[in-house]
Amino acid sequence: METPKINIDREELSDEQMLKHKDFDQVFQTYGKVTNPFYQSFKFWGGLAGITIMATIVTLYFSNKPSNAEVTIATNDTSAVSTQIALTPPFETLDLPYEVFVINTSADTLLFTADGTQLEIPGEIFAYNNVPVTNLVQLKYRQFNTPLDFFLSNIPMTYDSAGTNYTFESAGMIELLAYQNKNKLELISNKAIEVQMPSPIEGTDFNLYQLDDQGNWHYHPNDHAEANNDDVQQPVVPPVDAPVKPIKASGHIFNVEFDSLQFPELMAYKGVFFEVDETEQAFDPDLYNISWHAMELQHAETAKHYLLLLSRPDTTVKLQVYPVYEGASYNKAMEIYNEQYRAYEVYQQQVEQRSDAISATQQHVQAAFGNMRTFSSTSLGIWNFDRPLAPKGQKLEVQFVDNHGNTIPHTTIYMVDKQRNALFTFNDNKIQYKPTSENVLWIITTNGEIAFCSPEAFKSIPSKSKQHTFTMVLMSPNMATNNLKHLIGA
Amino acid sequence: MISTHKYHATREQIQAEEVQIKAAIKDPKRFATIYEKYYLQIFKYVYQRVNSEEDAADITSQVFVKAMVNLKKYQFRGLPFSSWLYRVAQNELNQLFRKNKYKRTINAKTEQLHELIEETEDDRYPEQMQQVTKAMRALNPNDMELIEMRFFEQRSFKEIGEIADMTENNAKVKTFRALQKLKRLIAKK
Repeated sequence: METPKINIDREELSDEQMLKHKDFDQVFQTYGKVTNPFYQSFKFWGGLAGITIMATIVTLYFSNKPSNAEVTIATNDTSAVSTQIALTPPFETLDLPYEVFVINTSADTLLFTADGTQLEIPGEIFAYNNVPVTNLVQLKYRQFNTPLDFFLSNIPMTYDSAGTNYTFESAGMIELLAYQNKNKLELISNKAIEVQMPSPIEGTDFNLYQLDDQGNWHYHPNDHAEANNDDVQQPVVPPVDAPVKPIKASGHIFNVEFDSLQFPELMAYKGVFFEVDETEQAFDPDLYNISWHAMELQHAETAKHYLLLLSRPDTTVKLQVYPVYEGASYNKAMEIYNEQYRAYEVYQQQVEQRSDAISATQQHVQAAFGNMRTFSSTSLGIWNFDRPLAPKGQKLEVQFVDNHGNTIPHTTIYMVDKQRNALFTFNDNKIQYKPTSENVLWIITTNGEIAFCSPEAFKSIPSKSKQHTFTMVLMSPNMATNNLKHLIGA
Repeated sequence: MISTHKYHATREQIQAEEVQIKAAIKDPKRFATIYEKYYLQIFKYVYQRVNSEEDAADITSQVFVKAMVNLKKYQFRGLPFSSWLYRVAQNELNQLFRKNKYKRTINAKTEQLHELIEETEDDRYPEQMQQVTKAMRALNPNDMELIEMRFFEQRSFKEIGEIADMTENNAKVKTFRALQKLKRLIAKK
């Protein structure tokens, strides 16, 4: 080794300068390269496993083709995949709205949504970048009950297995998302939200699936998907303190390194210093001149204060301090505070409205034919009670014209069989339908309109016909949706 | 006026950390929590021993990659995980210095050197500053590491012991001996 170089009084780097080099993705990628040479890589073994699995599926498929109820779609474990998908609804203004709650995540919460779903949310369940978050969290919830809901939110409802295109029939589907300071949160790995939701249809042969961010469904074999008719519980709304307004540094301050896991309330803030509260105690500036062996931050009795322990082997000094900010850090802290205060106000309003929510829940529970489904939501995103339906019925090549006989250019064809809570989709102008059912069909035209036809249009198709031209009714998406609701009975 | 320092982990924190480590062994993506928590500490440790910010950034990344690769070998002994990470950083730095891939640099402030001179009981400072820096160059790497941790990074003996894998008392004795060696080297110059 060469003789070391000595730098005296080198310019110091700020934490911000050091942190700009932080890049876990790059570290993770390098780690992947170090630990996975190609013959050991995921692609290699994944490919090999894929070939083996496909061979097994093909063998099973040809030896014993399952009925609808027996089909269990082979999917992956969701623990390693991202489960929060960004859907692109066909018409943004008609997308299904979210019900928004603000919850206090430092305690257990029992929530009821307007449609009667019960959410049992354990305290300290949310994390951002793998660090648990505390205080107020915004929870966004929506339920998709009908084929029209599936259409308007553009949730993929098909699954291709061994060359067969299955369509999911849903017995209830929900989406749950959580945010803090506009950051998308995740659930902590060993915790779950217990969901009890009213189901639009009865039946015990529904499985639980979760959608990943690539639009693939993942089967959850260990989750319970049975009906549950327990009494409605009382909501639990833990009290919450108002957020503490940031303070500009003006006195004697300390720069203390603290662990975000121990002080998650400070996690969102950058450039935090701790100022001695000199209204409570006189501060001796000579304390700055002592070389302390350890400096420890502790929570104090009030939300505003912390205790700072300065220690040497011979002495310990305890100071009452509060967080302060300087310059740009202060402005950023105020932005975060304003966001948190808005959440706090919403939370307070919700507390007052909870009693109304109970009666709404009871009504919905009754309206749901007494049929509730329960499961443990181990991650956020879209969860669905489904059974896969194999394509059945008469095959037909179709064309669509308006009432002047002009061909209507379009892409996907959407169809609902009123006996099923499913949305069938077809491409290439080929559909398959059950002549004995009542069917409703529609397309989105290239002009952004919806063209649809009623169940009557199917009744005029000759029984052995291979081709058919539908004369469609063209309407704006808004008007067409109202008509489709009526036709489907949603 | 600002004062900075590190903190020690409580028993509860150390136990919570063990859970995180086990999770990261099962799923390396979960190492992100550990990375997030210790990035700054390790960066500072590395930066103290190299010449530039860029060198420190590169080496810090390598330290965390090494830590992820070797995480399965980590044995929980009731110490903060940071002490193991520091040792990974120390080994990585020593290896890189040995291969002359990076220049070993000692970074100190004038007042820290004065404090060091005081400790060596050399009453000729500040004129002798140059002799001190020359003597530091001649110290063996292990002794220099102890001096550096104690005087330039202001670490407690407890922390030095945890990083250097020795008892607190041993850290105290060895640092004292390193100081004595430095004193002898200064006298020779």
